[in-house]
Amino acid sequence: MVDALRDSHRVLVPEGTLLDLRPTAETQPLEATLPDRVVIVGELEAQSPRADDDAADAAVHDAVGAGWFIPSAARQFRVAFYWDSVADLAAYAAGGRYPKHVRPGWADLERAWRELRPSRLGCKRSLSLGAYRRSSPQ
Amino acid sequence: MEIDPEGVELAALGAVATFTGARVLEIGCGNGRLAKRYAVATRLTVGIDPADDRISAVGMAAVPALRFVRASVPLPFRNETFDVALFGWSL
Repeated sequence: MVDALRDSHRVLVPEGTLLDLRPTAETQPLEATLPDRVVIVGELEAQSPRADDDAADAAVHDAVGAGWFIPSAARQFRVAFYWDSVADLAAYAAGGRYPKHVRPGWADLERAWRELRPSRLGCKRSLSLGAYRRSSPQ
Repeated sequence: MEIDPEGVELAALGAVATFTGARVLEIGCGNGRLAKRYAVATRLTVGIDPADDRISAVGMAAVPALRFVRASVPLPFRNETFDVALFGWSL
């Protein structure tokens, strides 16, 4: 990770901007959208191994400490995810860098989908965004 | 699947960096979901990812300023090429 940050410093122009956008490990309510209301049908657990987050934080800390970048902004926000079916959600859960899990389980979610017949499933995930200004000296 | 139809993610990125007219490198672009959204405003956007299957799954970029390249560190670009370097869900 530090190598990637060092090389990012190299390819950025002086005063250029480095952005570190990452999902926050968390468990969020899984919502079914009905014509007249939203019903919570479970939870989506989207955890990344703590060691990976710590390693990324340490790499950024080292890059700042080395004088390559200067922190300029940090924020957190929530982004909505929507799926048209349980199968659509399952494909998402199986992909990506880390598998995601639903609670209480897929069979319960399928049952809720058949009973409620929602138009879609959704949840919100928190993201963190760090911005850093590239320092001038190479 | 639909992610962020409200554009919250793009708004947050735009609040901390200038994308309009910029040369942007996205490191670990995956399937290009994010790059395809912001690239339209940029002068050049290059999305790189080390995974063959991800890059080949990106398909044709509908935005002329957008390129996808299979690459990783060391970055195959000259010094001081980009105005913005984005690790989008990849650091």
